[in-house]
Amino acid sequence: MKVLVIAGILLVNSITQSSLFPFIKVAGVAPDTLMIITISFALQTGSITGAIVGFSGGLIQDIMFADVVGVNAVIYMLIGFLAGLIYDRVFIDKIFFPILFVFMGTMAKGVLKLVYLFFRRAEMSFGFGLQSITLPEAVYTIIFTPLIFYLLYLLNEKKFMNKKWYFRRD
Amino acid sequence: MPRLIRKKPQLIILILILILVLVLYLGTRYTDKLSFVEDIVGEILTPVQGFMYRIATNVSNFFSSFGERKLLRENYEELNQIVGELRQKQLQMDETMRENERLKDLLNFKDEGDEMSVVGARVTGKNPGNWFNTININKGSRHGIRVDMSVVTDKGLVGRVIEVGRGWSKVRTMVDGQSSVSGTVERTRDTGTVRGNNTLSFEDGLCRMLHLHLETDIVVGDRVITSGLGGIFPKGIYIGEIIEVGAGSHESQITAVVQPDVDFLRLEEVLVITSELSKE
Repeated sequence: MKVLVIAGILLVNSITQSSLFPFIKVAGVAPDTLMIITISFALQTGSITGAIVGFSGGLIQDIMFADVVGVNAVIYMLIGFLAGLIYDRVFIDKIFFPILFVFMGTMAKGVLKLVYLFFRRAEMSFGFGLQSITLPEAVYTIIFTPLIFYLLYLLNEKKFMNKKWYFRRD
Repeated sequence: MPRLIRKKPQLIILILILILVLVLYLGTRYTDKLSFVEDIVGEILTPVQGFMYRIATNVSNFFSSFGERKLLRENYEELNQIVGELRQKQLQMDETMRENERLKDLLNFKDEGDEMSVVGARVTGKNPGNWFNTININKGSRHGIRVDMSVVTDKGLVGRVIEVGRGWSKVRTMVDGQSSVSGTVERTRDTGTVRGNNTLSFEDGLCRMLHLHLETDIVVGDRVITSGLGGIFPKGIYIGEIIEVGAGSHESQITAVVQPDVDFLRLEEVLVITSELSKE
């Protein structure tokens, strides 16, 4: 059940991001809702779920759009895993922490993408990429963060979402 | 092993990363064919995505049509004037065309552009990230589409097919940072490389023309077409108009900014040119 729900969320998100979001671009960038979903799961349920959600969501994007499979999967998985490390150690509120982590996550993703593009010898300068793609993207994304975080919070309170993953059963 | 995993979830992550790096490495070497899994996923998601994309385009067009309505009257008069001018030019052109054909017959010259066959396709989605500019279309190898075929609209070049599934394919647009097309300035016949550049401005849809010779006399407003060099894009497809001329990164070169006519934000239908490659 948990797997199905997460898969459903990720599929719907992927379709929305690719079909609807190009039309709500501001200053050339669209919000990255997959980042919000990954961070939300990481902060609400821990590293493992965060990493799994980031990995699957990134993989869907890779399969549908990227020419090389794995780039997004690695990036989102790492971010999901690292964000989940503070789960159960700090009290996580519903506004400040999600926004902080989504912002940091989007910036980290931007840097990693720039590194990838550098190795693919694409036409792209570091300063400009950070300044006019990553920063606006991060700002635009955090606007959507509280809403999605809260919705996923309600979902993660449900009983079926609190089952442990199979390989952690004791 | 299970106990190890239970104790150290970090280990799973590490293993997954290693696997992915391997996949990445393999993926960069054999890219043009989609794997079986990729193909199936795309096959299922493409129709849904295409449907959503169409709805979104229609809604977006609906809102932008308000602004356009205001300009109708102005546009009408301007267009009327242009029609007049074009009619005259058409007459001249007919004459030139006939002459051209006569001369070609004389020279026994085979025209490459004459027998171009195309397949129409619908755009089903755009890359959700802000870093890449690739689109998906709803035609694949089942419809005769192969890797490296050129994709165009009536407004000019869009890009080329980079991966093909059975019923869908991925297209890299020419404004993507990894795209590069050999172009010719129509008036001066200077050739250069047109590279996509997402960092040039905030709006999607500008390219940069590199490696132009220092002695060119290109000016703002010159039109750029594909040169046919490199063998991927057929010769003579319209790319865009030069809107800025500046110094290049090397002192012996000139760089120009090219603005395509194609609206990469609102692509709906595209044509894939299928004949050029099959002739080989």
